[in-house]
This record gives sequence, structure tokens and C-alpha cells, in this order.
Amino acid sequence: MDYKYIEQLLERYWEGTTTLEEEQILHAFFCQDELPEQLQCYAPLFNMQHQERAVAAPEALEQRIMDAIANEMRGEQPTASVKIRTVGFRRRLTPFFHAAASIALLVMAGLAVEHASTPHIQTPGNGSSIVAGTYVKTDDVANVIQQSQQPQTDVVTAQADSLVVPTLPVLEDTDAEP
Amino acid sequence: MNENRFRHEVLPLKDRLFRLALRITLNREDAEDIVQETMVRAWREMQQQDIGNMEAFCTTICHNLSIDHRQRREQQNITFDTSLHDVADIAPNADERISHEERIAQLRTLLDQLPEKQRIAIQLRDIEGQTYRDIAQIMQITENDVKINIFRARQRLKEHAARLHTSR
Repeated sequence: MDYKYIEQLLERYWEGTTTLEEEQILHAFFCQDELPEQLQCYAPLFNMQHQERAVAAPEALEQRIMDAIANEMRGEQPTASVKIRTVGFRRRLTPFFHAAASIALLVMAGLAVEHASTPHIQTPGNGSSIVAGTYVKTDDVANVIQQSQQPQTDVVTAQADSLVVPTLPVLEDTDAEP
Repeated sequence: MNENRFRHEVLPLKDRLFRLALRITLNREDAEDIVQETMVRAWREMQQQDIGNMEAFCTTICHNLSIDHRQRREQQNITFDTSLHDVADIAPNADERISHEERIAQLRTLLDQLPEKQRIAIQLRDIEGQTYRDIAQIMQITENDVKINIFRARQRLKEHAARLHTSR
């Protein structure tokens, strides 16, 4: 068989002047099992190219690509790394402490307001009463109640028969500022 | 619509792009990353404009990303993955009988050791069957430069193939 045509193609192939169609002819020729001896030396080269054409990407790559495209479609940003912090027992209870303190303040404020607005009357047992921090005689209690709308502070104890004038605002003077 | 086009026109290119990236980077993991990045960029571009020649567009992106990656590696003085295949002695010992598969392996090793432009030109022409015009566009060089690189690469492969044959 005359292989001159193949040899001519091969010479132009080494020079880089063959067309794609002519190169396909050479590839097909050198994939045969039976080759002339003078051309056998070039078979490994074309066989290597044939094997290289069969190299494929890993199967998992396609799924990776589609996942990346799905992220693009959702417009997701790459997730930032998040550090996991260990919160101690005392730190976990801190919000509860804050809540308890707030509640306590509210209760105290409420009690203070209630205490200030409600007149406190006690009978020491000697005929006098304690009204808004002062001792007065029992007979004057009604008058004192009427006049004791002003908030008082300290309670001053005194003898039942004596009228103790405290350093606090005087009850008789209803116009006095608390 | 774009998703449909992506599945039918872009995704089927993954094997071809993987081979090109692998030829340039000589590292399988890097080649996979580059293919993924190439396709994501193709997707983004599809949202902006109509890409005429999808294959040429993706191949160019893949080529450029592979070159950039290889250059970064060199700057970091990272050695290539020589375990890609056995690095055989490309100077055959005349006393040894070399099998057909061993010759194929040695020619593959020689191909990977060619200068980068020769290696890419041979990959695109002899393995992927691209025209000189398309290769010039992908590599961003002239057609004449493409022919010169292919000529030099084929001459080296021819000489080594003949040398291997005489060592039988």
C-alpha cells in the first residue's frame, strides 16, 4: 500500500501547515492497529493526543458549579465565619438580675408614692396619736388629719402630754411648703 | 431563560475547560476551581449582555484565569504538582525496552514540560481541535505566533517520539 499521501501530510503536520481536516485524517490513520514500520514511531504521539481528549472533569464538579450558580441567583454573599463564644453561668443570669432590679425599683417607687399619699395614724396608748410624724393630743386628731395632707418625713416620738414641735414643717401652718 | 441557556451551552464545556486549565496549571484541584470560577463569570456576564460565541468566551476566561493562577503560584514559589503523572526520564536508555504505553506517558510528560505558550497552543490545536484564528483570540497573540509555537512544539515531540522508537 502506498502511504505517500500520509507521509506528505505528516511532513506538513510537523511544519504546522495542515488543516484541521487533514489532521483528523492523520489521527484516524494512527489509531489503526496495523501500521507500516516506517510510520510506527509516531503512533504513540497521536495515541497520547487521543487519550488526552478523553480526560474529563470530576463528576462532582458539575454539582459544585450548579450550587455556585444557585447562590448567584439568590444573590447570597459568602457567609462570614462566626466565632462560637462560651457564655458563663453568671453572664447568663445577668439579664435576670437586671429585670429583678428594675422590678424592685418600680415596687419601691410605688410604695413610696402610696406611703406619701396615705395618712398614717397610730395610737401609742397614752391618749395621743402620731400623725404624719408628730405626736398630738387625741382631741386634735381630726384637725390634724385635715391639715396633714402634706408629706412628712421623720417620726418624732415624744411624751403624750406634750406637743413636740419637730424640725419638720409645722402642721398648724397649712400653707407651709413641705 | 438564562438558566436554560447556561445548562445547554456553558455546562457542557466543563470537560474542555478542565483539560485546558489542567494543562496550564498542572494541578487538578486548581483546574477544578478555575472551571467553577469561569462558569460563574459566564453566568454573571449572561445577565449583563448576550454572549455570541459562548465557547470562545468561556475558553478565553479559563485561559486567563489559569495563567493568572500559575503566575501567582510562581510568585509564591509554590512548586507544581508533579504527581499529576509519573515524571519519567525523557532521555530513554537504549538498553531498555520501552512499552507503547510508556512511550505515551513520556510524550505526555514532555508536553507538560514544554514552554507555556507551546503547551497551550498544542492543547488547543491537537487535542481540542481549535482553528488558528480561535487560538490566537484565546491566547491574545497573533495567528503567526500561534503557528510558530505549534511548529516548535511539534518538532520537539517528533524528535522525542523518534528517539523513543529507536530505543526499542
